[in-house]
Amino acid sequence: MGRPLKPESEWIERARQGDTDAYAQLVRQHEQVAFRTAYVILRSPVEAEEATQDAFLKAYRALHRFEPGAEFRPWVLRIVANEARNRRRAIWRRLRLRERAAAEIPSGGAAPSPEVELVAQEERTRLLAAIERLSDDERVAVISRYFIGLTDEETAAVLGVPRGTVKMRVWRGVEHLRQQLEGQHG
Amino acid sequence: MADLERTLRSLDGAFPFPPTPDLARAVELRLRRRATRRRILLASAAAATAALAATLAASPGARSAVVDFLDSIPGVHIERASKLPAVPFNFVPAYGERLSLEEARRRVDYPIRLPQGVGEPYRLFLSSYTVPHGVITAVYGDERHTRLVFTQWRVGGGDLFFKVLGPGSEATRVTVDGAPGIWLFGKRHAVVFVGADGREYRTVGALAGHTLVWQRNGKSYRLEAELSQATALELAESIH
Repeated sequence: MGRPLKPESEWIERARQGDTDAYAQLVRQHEQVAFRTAYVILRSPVEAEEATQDAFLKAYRALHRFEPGAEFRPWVLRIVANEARNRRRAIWRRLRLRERAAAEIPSGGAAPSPEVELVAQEERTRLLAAIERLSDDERVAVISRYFIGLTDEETAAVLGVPRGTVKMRVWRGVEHLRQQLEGQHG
Repeated sequence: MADLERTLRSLDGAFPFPPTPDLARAVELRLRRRATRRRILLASAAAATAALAATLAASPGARSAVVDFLDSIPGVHIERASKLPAVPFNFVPAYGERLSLEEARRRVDYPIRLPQGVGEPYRLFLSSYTVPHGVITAVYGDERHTRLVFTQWRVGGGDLFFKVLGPGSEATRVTVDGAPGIWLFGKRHAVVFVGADGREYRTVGALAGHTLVWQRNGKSYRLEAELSQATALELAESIH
């Protein structure tokens, strides 16, 4: 998760004045974390791509409301998460998301691993499967923290909840993972 | 708990996220296209309204026919205006990557058609920026004088060309071997298009403003040359 090499405030200011090149730089800087955030919520790469594109366009139109000096990443991630959640609600109305997602969740571990890593590989596969069985709130909190690398503040922005709630969801998520994994061993 | 957290931390980057698409490019293109359309519409909105009102007054039943006719070729958007927008003469064609005909045929998933009887194109270009299946542009002539520009693309992308017709330039409905087309002629018209690099290019009548656009078998074609309507149609009909 690299940080900008050039002051973001300069890109933001230029983008505000209609410079699409400057805005593209901003998008490029944050596209991976934004796409992954949308994917965690939507669990479909196609839906996540569309949601992220739409969110970046909405953010562009809303730049005049962006507070100078504030952090751009949590601000835009909030817009991405809102867009993804709105899209998910629409999907839920049309389809049963669980059924869709089950078909699209990657199985993981596609790359061959050395024999010595087989055990670790199996554990990892079990862990990833267990994460998928968490409740949505806990799953998004755990993946945001451990796999996307968001700070608690950014996760709070994504989830639209206070930081304390984020900590609680992560803690509960990890606890539920532990229970699942111990249950499998037992 | 502590072990599990350690394991989770050690798996950083191991979650099977799908590859991140090139969102910056997609967003930039959408912004450029929207801005281009807005500028053109603003420049011509008042005049277009007046022109349409005049048309409607003269022929009350003509409204849908006029609108349908001007929007009948996918990828080409045409507006009428009493005055051409003040655009700098910036004819630096950004047709895309230069390549051979053989290479072009390998790179696009549709058959490339070229006009007969005009020799080989001087230059051939492929742009994959503006429409999903790529745009092929064949330029005829030589370094000093471009005689003909022939463009083709598969129907399905957004607008590729925005044309603004000023006073003295006309558009008329034609057919090319039975396929629908539009012949733009008379005085110069402004052309605005998104180039292969995603930038906006504007020109006023690159080749005296005689242009034929038509659609056939799921593809759109644009032919711009200093030709009469009859010759342009003949040339277009040679393209199979």
